Amino acid sequence: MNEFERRLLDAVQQSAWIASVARPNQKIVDIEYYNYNTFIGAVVAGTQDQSVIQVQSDSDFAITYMSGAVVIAGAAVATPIATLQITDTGTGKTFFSAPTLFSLVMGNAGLPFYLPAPRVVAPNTNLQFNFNNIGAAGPADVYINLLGARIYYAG
Amino acid sequence: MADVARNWRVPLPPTKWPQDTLKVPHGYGKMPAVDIVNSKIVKREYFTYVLNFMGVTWNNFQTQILEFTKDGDFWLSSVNCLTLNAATNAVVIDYFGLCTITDQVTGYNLFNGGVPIPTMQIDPNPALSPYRLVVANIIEPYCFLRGNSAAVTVSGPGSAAVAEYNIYMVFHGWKEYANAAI
Repeated sequence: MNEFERRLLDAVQQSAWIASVARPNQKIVDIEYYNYNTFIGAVVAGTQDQSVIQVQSDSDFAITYMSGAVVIAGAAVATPIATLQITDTGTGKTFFSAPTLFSLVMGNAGLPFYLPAPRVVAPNTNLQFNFNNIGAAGPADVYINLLGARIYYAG
Repeated sequence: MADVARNWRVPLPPTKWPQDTLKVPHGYGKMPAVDIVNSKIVKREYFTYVLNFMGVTWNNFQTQILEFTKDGDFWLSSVNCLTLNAATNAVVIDYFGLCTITDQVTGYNLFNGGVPIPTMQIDPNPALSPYRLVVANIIEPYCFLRGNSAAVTVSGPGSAAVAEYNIYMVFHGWKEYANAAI
């Protein structure tokens, strides 16, 4: 690690952002941008399907943005009539209190959804995405991105 | 000179999180200022509460109670919604109704007199004015203590041409936990 990287890591570790997601009493050795993504294909109108992202075993993943797109008949749908629920299968906790409309939590008009606080996923954890095409149009191809930072700890 | 530059280091003060005491400002629900010891908070993470107002008839109102779970305090940061014509599922962007959110414990109304729902609605058409885009931001995040609840009311008028509206509303923020096991 060069001097710039070391000072940058020092500065990041002093921030409220990292204080709210870092494991207590463990030394952070690196933080890097990363993007997990998944795809759910051909969800017929009136049906649901799911997909899983497995977080790698070498680092925590702190999610800061979420973005997604629903494509029907080759064209992206601006406001898909579909719901989404995300479940952290490691803790059993969901991201939303109930399945909610896709564009309310996955960004809109080309802009991602910016999480008001990071959401950390532990290493080797599966994130399950349940997509329900409640509208009349389909089949829908669903693209989902989770943008954030991988946090590496010593030891 | 080069040695000074290489060894110079600004001691960055640690940013205070979580804040040691949670202050409820004077005037919230006509209460005096309250300090709540918050130093046992060990973790926070993003969470969104969801309320769906189905079949809101035009020129009418509907109230639902948003129950906050007991596992952590919830800090409300912003509110979004999307309004659909209940019959056709078409997006409605000019439902000129009002939304009020009332803390059931303090009686505090987050939006004095209500906030126009079009200002909370995500804009599905980027060709429209960018000032209509995005959220109703709570300027200073508001804390609902664990186990608390809020009464959320949406009211018309809307349009007689749309018999019923479905309003999907999300409350974005984060939960703060006191239990290290969570």
